Amino acid sequence: MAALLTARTLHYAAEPAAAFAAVVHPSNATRDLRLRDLTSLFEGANRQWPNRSGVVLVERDAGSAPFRYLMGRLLNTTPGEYKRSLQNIEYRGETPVSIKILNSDAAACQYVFNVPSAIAIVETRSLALPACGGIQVLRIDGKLPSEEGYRLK
Amino acid sequence: MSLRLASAAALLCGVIAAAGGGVAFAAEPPDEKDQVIQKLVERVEALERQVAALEQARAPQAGQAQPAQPPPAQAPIAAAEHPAQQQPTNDATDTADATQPDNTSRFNFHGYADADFQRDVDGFTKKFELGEVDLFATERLSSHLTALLELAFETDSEQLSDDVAVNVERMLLQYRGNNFFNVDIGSYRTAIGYYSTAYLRGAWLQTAISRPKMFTFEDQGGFLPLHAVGVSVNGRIPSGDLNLHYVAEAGSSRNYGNTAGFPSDISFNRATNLAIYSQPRGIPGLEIGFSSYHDLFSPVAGFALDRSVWMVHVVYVAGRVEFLNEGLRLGFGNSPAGSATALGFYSQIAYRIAASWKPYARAEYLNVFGTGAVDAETRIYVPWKTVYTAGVRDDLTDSVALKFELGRETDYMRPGYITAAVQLAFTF
Repeated sequence: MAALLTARTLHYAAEPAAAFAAVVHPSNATRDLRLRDLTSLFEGANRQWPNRSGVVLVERDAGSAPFRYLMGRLLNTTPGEYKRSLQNIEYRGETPVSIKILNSDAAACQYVFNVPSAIAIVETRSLALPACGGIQVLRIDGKLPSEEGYRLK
Repeated sequence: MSLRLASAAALLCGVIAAAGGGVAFAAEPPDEKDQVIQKLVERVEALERQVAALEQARAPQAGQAQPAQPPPAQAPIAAAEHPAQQQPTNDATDTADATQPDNTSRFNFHGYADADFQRDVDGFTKKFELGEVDLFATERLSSHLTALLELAFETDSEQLSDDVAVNVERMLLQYRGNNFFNVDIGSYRTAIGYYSTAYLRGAWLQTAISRPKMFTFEDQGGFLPLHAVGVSVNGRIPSGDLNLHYVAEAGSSRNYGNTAGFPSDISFNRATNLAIYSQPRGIPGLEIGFSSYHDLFSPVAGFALDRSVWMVHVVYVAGRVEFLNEGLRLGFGNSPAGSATALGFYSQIAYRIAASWKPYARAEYLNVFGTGAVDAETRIYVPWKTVYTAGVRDDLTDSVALKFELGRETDYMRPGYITAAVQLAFTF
């Protein structure tokens, strides 16, 4: 049991050294997000862009670094609690949260490129991939991933 | 695009070759000139290959969504697909869930069930039992209309093998106009306080095994009108970062099915409720609100009391923390037989430790006072006074939770007693 607990604990510990980027479609008017607004999007508390289009969350598979960062650092939750909170939104009769899960950063970038209202969190090193070339990297609290003080780390 | 680029490159190549030839023709031997031309041709071919590769990478596949247009004003909403329900894929071209038209029908379903062992939860018994099976489904009928149906199979009140109560918890036609105006028509749960709207049914959804005592269901002896049939209007109130919401409800209360205390009059009395709450943008997870509910309560045929329920709540659910606080003022009055008032509150705190353990504790208190026969009867109808509960929830998987709980209750009718329960709750 202790081993199981440890394994579960470690499994969702955040990646220590990687940096991450929030990416959207180039036509998305949003260029800068506050960190808490980004959190709010992925929590499902805010499900609309300013132009009222519905947000589609693009998430990575459970074992990936972006997903672990999302759970462990950005949302400070676990997959189980995350699932519970998302179902709770739906259960309250509100508009369901839209989520697409993809198993590579390239696929996540490609999906964001194909769906104008999507947002994804990918590793910053993946931004050099050709698939991530045509999408928009958001500033978080006014800073890009390359700038000092960038917070998605 | 590639043709134009190739033509331009070829033209450029020709011009350079011609110019180079013009300048160097006399100085360079013919074989060197051919080598230059050959190199330029190779370079053009390499550029053509790069352009083709780039275009191929950017070009949508057949049947793939075209991303050229900016997001529409009312973008289609994809189906809720939760991490544990959706298989990861590498197919980024499968955008059907996010790009299909708004009026496309979409069905969502969730089920909740639990199995329990309870000791003295009602003060008397010790038993294994099934909890309730809760089936929740929504179907998007058009861009603005959604049908919602929730059925609860109450196996926990089963007396005979064929005696399972089926409760239509909610049956709603929802009109989603915009952020500020939405309408639910049908059987809804009243927006009284926080807990009942957040965790009406479904043991897996709530952290604890037991509900706060004040939110006991009507058919299990609860005194709050948690259900009604009618119209509920809800939406946001323009309020900036205060992020205010409103819920206004008018309908008929469901005074039937109460098996405790008063014999109930099966009547559908008018009921109104107004709830306003704030979810400040500056403090994600915080919700502060109040609700004011009024109806006629008929404990026996031909006898009606004005019932009013005022509730306030301060709730913080974020990260590892769950902190729920609600206060209640319940009034029965306007009768020669007297009046009664109940004041109560509950406070529940839970904090996740490690990856999946969530210990919790809750304290509840209720006091009834008043005059005449109504006061005396209300103490029978609402007998409990204090409830202390503590337990732990362990999420075994994303869909299965195991919970342990101990409690102590006191009421006006009997000495205090200890309760214990174990629950395996899951969603499917």
